[in-house]
Amino acid sequence: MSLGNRPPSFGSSVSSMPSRARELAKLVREKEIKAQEILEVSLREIAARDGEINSFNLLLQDQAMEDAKRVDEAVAKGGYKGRLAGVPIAIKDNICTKGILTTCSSKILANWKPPYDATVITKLKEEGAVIVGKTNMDEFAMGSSTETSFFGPTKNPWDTTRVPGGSSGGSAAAVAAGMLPLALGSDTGGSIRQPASLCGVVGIKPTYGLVSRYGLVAFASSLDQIGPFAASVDDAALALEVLAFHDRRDSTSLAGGLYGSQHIKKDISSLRVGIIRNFLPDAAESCRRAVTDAGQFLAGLGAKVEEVDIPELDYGIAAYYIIAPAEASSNLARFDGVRYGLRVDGEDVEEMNIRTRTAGFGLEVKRRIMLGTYALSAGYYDAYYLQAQKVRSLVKEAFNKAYQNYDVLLSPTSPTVAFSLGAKVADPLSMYLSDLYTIPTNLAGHPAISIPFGTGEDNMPVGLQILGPALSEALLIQVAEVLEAG
Amino acid sequence: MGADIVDENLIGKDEVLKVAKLARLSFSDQEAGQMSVELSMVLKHFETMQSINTDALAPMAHSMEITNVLREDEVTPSADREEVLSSAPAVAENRFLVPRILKEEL
Repeated sequence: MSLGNRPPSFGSSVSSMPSRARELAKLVREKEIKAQEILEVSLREIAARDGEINSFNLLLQDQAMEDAKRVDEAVAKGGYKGRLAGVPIAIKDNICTKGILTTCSSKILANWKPPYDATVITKLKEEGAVIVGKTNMDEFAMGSSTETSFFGPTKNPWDTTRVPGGSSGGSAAAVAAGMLPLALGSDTGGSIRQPASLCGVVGIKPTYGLVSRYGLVAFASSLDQIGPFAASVDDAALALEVLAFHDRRDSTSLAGGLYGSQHIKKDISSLRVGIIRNFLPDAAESCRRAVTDAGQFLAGLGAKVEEVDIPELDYGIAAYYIIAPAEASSNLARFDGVRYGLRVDGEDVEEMNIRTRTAGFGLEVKRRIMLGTYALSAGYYDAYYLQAQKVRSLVKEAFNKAYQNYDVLLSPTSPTVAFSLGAKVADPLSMYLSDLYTIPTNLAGHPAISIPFGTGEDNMPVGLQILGPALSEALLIQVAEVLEAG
Repeated sequence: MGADIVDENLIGKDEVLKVAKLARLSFSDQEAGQMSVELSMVLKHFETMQSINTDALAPMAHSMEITNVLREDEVTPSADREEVLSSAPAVAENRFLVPRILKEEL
């Protein structure tokens, strides 16, 4: 199966129903269409295509039908305002859903049903979204190809011999294959943007703190953010608008009302655009071309576009591969066989802990725990962890300096188009380098968006990354829409 | 993996086993060897970081200014005990059940 050059479009292979979330929600609110009908289209697409793609760890047909029915009943009563009324959505399997398996694609959590919903789940339901299932991912979000999943890899819908990217590969592939108009992912070092790029869909990594992390299984707490996937910039913007709110249960949650309030829309002719020059030489020809084409297009509309060197960003990946594993080694200490998940018995507590973790975690997760534990251990702390934290400051300062001269920055999202399944599994370092251009954004806590921008090698989609300072989402979305239309 | 790479390993097999103990993981001899090669490759690649002069920089734990969040000390609904315990691998008398913690000493 191949998508050819067909852009992702929800339900288009089984139905002539509109494909965009915003339009579907409007039609549901206006009683033109039923939430249950939309869900049926989604389930038919999934039945037709997911056997091959493997986007889903779990499908919730019955529960989703109940939820859709409830939305239809609420609409029938009149005055229903849900911004996502009847919109089917898929949820990455590291976001807690009450009483519903939340596995992080790990053996250690393969049977775990959380006792509570993540706040984003509560919010989505309030707005009328219908949760269709939980999507596959790299185990504990550690990976760039969805191949470290305990449940086997997800395939790229454009070419099923290739990876969808990762770690949110299931969510990206499901949207790319037209199974749903929206999906949620999480992004610690590029886990929304890179799979969005490789699957030819839109993905947003919001400003740190804009979206609640309550109920997101922690990987690296100072970097993790939940964000949306969609087939269009407008739909991703609609989802982000719903997801951005203050949550008292997340102590790093920003105050409410910030989304869209800063770096507000401006005339493209007054826009200052910087192309990150040092991110170009190592990128594939198609990925470089996307950036220069986008720059030329914006210049054609009157924007001031120039190339800029920000060499400090090149150090981001080194700092990240100390900081993220260090935080992960601490966060994953909770998987000890006592309170939830797998237990493998032992003579005493320590032996039980060791046996449980050794049997429950996959190889990549063990690698990261080892890397993090090493970097935090006595004798190495200053050289690795402390130095990485200082380099993190350097990266943020370099960004902030650049944003004095530019409103937004452009770069490739990924150095290449989607690579073949298995190509990087045996070489962790080459896998880590897939996130070279996305990682600095997480270190700085800034937002960035990846949009499809043409096709490259072997007709595979190419992603363009648009980066901006903290809380510049409204501007990023505006620029993305201009580029999407052009 | 060539022997030349193994010889230059930043993290030897013994170090791997020491760190594994801290991380509550166990590796076979062969796995520890593989882990030693892979972790060394990763750290070596990112060694460029060590040469950056960071004297003037403060370490950053977090991307934003964050402060303690305080609230009134009021009782609010919390997780249900039965529900929380229901996902534990072993439970007894409303508690998490674990293997022996203390060894018997004479």
